[in-house]
Amino acid sequence: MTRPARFATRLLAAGLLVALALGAPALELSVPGGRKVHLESTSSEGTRWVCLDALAKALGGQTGRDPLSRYPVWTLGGHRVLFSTATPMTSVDGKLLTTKHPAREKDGCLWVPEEFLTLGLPLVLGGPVSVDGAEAVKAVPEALPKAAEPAPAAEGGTNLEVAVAADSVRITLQGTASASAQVRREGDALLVTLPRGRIETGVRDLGSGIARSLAPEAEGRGIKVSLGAGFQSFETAALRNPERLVILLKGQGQVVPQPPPASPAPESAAASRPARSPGRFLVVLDPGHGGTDAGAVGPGNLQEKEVALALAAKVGEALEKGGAQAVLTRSGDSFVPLTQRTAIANYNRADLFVSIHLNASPAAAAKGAETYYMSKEASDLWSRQLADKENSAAGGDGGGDTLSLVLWNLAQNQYIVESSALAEAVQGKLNQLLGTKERGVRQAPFVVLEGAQMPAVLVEVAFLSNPAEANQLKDPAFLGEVADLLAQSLLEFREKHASQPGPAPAP
Amino acid sequence: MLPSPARRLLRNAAAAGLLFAALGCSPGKPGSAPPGPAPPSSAAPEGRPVTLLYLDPASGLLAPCPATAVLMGNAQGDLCEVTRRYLAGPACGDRMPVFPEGTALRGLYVLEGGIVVVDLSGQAASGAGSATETARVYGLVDTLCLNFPEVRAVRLLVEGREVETLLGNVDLARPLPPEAGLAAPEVQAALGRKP
Ligand SMILES: [Zn+2]
Repeated sequence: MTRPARFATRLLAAGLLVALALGAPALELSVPGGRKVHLESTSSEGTRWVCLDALAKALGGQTGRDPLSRYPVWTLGGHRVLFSTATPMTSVDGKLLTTKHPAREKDGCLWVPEEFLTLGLPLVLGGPVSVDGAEAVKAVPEALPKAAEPAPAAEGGTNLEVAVAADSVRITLQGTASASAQVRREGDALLVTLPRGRIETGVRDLGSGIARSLAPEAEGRGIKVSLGAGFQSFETAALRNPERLVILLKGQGQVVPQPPPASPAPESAAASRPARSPGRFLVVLDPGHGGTDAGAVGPGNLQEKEVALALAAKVGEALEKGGAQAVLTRSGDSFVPLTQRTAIANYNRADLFVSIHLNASPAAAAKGAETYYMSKEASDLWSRQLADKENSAAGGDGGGDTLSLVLWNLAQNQYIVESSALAEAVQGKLNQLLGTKERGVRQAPFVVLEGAQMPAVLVEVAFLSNPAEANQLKDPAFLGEVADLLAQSLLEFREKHASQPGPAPAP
Repeated sequence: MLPSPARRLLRNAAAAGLLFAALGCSPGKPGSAPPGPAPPSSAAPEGRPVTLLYLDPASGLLAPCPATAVLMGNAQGDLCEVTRRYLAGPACGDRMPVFPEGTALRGLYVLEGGIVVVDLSGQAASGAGSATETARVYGLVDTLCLNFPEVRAVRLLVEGREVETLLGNVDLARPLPPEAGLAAPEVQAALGRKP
């Protein structure tokens, strides 16, 4: 960790400590059976936190560590809850829930955000839960599309992934038999049948007006997708590397009868989640660095964090002008941890994630833009290692949900092909402007890209270590030009790929 | 004595039956990696040609720079030797060093499955920019994988500790396989051969 990052971590820890010390009033939890439970809570970052051990003491069950992932775990009445402190994810019996904040470990306690109490607890306790008498929340938490299912146990197994967007539903079958699957419409349903093997899925509520739900069919060899009133047409595309079939179900124009998976989040969380306009193209822009982390520093103390923020704001404006929606991971000079930046994109169900940086190299003459997307080599190796660990840990309890939660951190694995096409689109535009050819699209396992559940790239616009480029970056007109081109490349990417289910083939 | 994260990493590996060899490198001069070949030993060693990958300022890629290293045929010792040689910087005029001067090798451990853990001194984590960072991380990772076909991935530690990244981008929480795309065309095929 760099010195500024270390400092920032200390600062955050100190802030949390102060916040925890200040405390907050006890919290009243109403649980099924009319019982009321009082818990001590602390307040920080606009939410309240309870200690998992206190929760377990009040409600029962055991707390400990998952032997495979070392994630904190709570078991109660046959239910198993796994908390991630790195990403705002919780797994309840294998079902992935997303919260605004990840759980925190501090002072011998795992601090769980209040949001978990209304989202996750109902699943554990089998009924509605409310906090401080607030209206009970319906006990159907949102399940995110899983990044990757556990590796198929038997040969010919086919994994299924569903991504629900405002104007489409994308079903991806991954496995060697997927390319020869038959897809046909029968009345209000779409039937997908494999020539051999099984599709690994249970019944899933999709909560979209285009496709309402899906269920296993033909003794596991197929699935039946129940279409909604918003369904208009479907397309399929067989993609390689890995072998997969993408089925894109499209809605009628911009009209979507229901938003993507109903958000049962409590009011506090709903308010903090920026409203996504149905049918709109949403891009999460991530200005690199911030706060105590200045990033690269050019001549005249020109700081990467400042230029990145100015650029991201301009790209956002240009996108809005183009009819898209933009959300920035930071709007001021603040430190945001890497995994939280990706989490913001996932939380908003963005269509694209673009991290914006300025480069530096030991070679003073280095110039031009570089665009990175996730490394396939690293992603493949890590997924394989996790699957191996999983297999060797046979006999351990509840390994499957551990794997899906751990793999969630490698969600980008599913979008590498799309991200590569996005990187080409962005880089192509910047090369035109900067007149560079020799530098371009590259792959590396960047932390900020790994967990993104959408096409994601990191663009290094120009070199702050190059005096001529640093000079250009001081000019607001030049930044405006770069921003317009970046926005244009994203809008064009959307145009191109909205009309076809599979993007460019793998490089 | 290893700081606790490194110990934990090795203990976990040992517990999982993964440990193949975990001996520290014989101590180099801290803060100044020896620029020349290793001091002569009783085995009457010979220099062997190795290929070190450094930054080519013209292309921004990792390009080969031939060197000689005294290798004894012992994987762990030879990896230490090539890593030290690498940290000392290029002897080719047109290649640029990627690690800050004074970056030292603190330890190196070989785990089963072709995973090598390299523990570097704190200087490794100074600087900025993804071009700097990818050249630094993959200069070393690709060099070790290129010269030792049995090495499949490299895990980097700084001052004995697990770190999230070196300069804010590349994930160091897991072992890194080589990234052929960041290397010059003439060595890409050799790096891409890894299963
Ligand atoms: Zn940066």
